[in-house]
Amino acid sequence: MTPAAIEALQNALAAEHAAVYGYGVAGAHLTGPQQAEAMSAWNDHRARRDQLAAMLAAQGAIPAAAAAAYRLPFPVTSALAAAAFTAALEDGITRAYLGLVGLAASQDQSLRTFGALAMQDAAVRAAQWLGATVAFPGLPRSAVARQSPHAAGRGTPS
Amino acid sequence: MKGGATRRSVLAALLTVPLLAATGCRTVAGATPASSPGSDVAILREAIAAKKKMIGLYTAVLAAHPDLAGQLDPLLADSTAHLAALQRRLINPGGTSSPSQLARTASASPAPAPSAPIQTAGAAIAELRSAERGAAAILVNQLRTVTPSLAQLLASIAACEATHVAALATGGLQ
Repeated sequence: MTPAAIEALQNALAAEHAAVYGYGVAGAHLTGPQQAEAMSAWNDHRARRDQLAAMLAAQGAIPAAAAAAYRLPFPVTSALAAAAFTAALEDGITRAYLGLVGLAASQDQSLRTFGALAMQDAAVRAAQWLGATVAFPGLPRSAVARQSPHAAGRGTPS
Repeated sequence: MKGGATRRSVLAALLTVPLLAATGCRTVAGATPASSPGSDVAILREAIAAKKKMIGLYTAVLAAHPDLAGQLDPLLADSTAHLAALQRRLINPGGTSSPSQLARTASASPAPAPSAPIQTAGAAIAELRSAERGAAAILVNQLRTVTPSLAQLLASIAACEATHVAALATGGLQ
């Protein structure tokens, strides 16, 4: 596995660590079906985290550790804020896995597939928290901004 | 709140900074010798054809069931955006696109060609859902061999198609 692949896996792992932490914060402010959804997502992210750590360890790399604490992008003190926060978390996860998809095809095809499928899971959860879809999950606006106005940014949180 | 800003900065960075790999698409692609441009063009053509077919399907369903517009219009808008992005890469591999040419191509493309009349709204939704799921699977297969930046575009489109599958499920995204 190339150094670029290791780095992309570490980035994805760091994002999963953050998601595990973030869902713990968000879950405390959610109730009913939303809390169940957060719990399910939290378990999914823990599984991905462990999977990524195992993939890295199998390559002889030391898996990145979780931070002791994380700074939240905005105060999460209500169910509404918690849902917005988890949508943002999933968007970050989608971006992290996009890095795996961007690896050179000659060496890392299976990582591309792995990343693309993980992107789908994160994008679906983001859309469910957001209650809307976005046209290009994970891609920066700059990568898709030069097309016709109707095509860009619908549903993107501002 | 002890423990230093650097240790707590990961989440903030995660939420605000796009990955380097996702930016400057054409520059990255141009510098990568991993896969042949010929493969990119062939796969782009296939992806464009598939997306036109998808748009045609949405258009046909909307014509038969105008009451579904609230649910389907946003998904059709996503699909139209996908088609434009794919066509832009095909027409403009070197960065010299003509917006008017692009607009003409995009507006001319959604040719509704319903294969058979669709009976019920439920059956139409199910057909769309199946088509989106299949399209996402095909893209994930196609992105294995193309240049990195195109792989990322295809993966993003496939991820959107996966969200469409969820949006077309019973109960939608709520």
